[in-house]
Amino acid sequence: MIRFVPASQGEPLTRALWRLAVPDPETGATDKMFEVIDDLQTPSQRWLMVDTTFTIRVHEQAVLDGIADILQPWIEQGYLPADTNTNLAVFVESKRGEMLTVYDAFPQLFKDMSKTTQQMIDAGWLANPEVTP
Amino acid sequence: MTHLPRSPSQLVNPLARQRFIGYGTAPGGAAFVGALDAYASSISRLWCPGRRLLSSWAGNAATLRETTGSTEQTFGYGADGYLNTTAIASFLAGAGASAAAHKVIFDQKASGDDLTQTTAASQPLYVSSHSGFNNRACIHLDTVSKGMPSTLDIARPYSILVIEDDDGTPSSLRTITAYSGTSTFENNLICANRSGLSAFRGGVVSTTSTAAACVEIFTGPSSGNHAFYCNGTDITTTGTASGDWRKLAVGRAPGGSEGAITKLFAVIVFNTALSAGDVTALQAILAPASL
Repeated sequence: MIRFVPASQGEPLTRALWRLAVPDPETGATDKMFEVIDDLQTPSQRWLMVDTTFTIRVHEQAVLDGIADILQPWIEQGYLPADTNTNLAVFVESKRGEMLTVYDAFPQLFKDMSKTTQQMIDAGWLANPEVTP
Repeated sequence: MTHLPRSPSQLVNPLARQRFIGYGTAPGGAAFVGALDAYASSISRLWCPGRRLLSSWAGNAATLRETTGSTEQTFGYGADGYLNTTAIASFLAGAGASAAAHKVIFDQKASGDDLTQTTAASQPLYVSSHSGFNNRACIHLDTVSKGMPSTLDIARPYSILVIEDDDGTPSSLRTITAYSGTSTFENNLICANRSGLSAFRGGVVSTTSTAAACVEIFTGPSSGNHAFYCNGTDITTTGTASGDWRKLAVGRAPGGSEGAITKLFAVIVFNTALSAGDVTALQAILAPASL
């Protein structure tokens, strides 16, 4: 299932997420985990197009830096608990070398703000793809 | 409609020549013959990781990412012209993985316009053998979020040939989509068995559902109406002249929200509007049951 997760830092976030699986920045330097989409609002809002079933094996040398940097402002503004990054680090540490369904690790705040494809279309934020005979 | 130019080599019965394909070097040690060699000058792009269809292409078939550890490797074709699935099986076994996804599918026309998807969650899966395609390897768009864009701006005249076998789900919507600029989705499609609408471009071209494993050919002549064929039969239902394709994507296009749920063997773009005779000839060469 696809869910659109608001992500103003979508590009660095999707690259940072991919570094959980492939930490070497020289390997696939432009690779990403999920698509980043700008919606049709004015001004547009940026979303991560997340396949909720997508799994990776967390690399033994996976680094969290990029993700922690993106979450930090949310923590500082009180939207996320102060121990979010600490807990995330512990979680990732426990998953090294193991398979992880990435969406499961998303903070609940972002899951609550996410939308389905149909919700995005109904809101007029995605092009309506329907064509009828 | 314009008939394709025929090369001298095509004076040989193409179906007789076809029998050599799949058996490596032809009798007498002759060089590899591509099934579509006679059409090479009329082809703009040819993406078919499962089989080498042009003798002029000596490059690789695809770069795959195994989905467990996310390591990548590029694979080529065997002497028989088919994807080296044995090497892929070894790669997967070595990585302890059970599945792989396509990161790059090389254009056999050597244009450099290789289908490329650097977003891991959007990469179509690799299938080592599919019964609908004579047990050949193919591409699997297993969710509507999967897609691989091309950068080719398609202009009339053109034809787009697709060999696909949809998964039989109502949500199988767009096997081939179009987009403009870098990521503006346009509402065009070719899609097997989409309910009541298998081809659309600036208007309905065909409302006839297609067969399961099939060869679909969409033609856009220099002027006049588009046409749509399935397994050699003209299933055009509406005379629609409008619209060009812009850039083509396999599955979900950049900026779009949905592709298709289907298996693909090949996508070929021609620089001419294929005639009914050409369609019949290509059907004989590329029939899914004899791939």
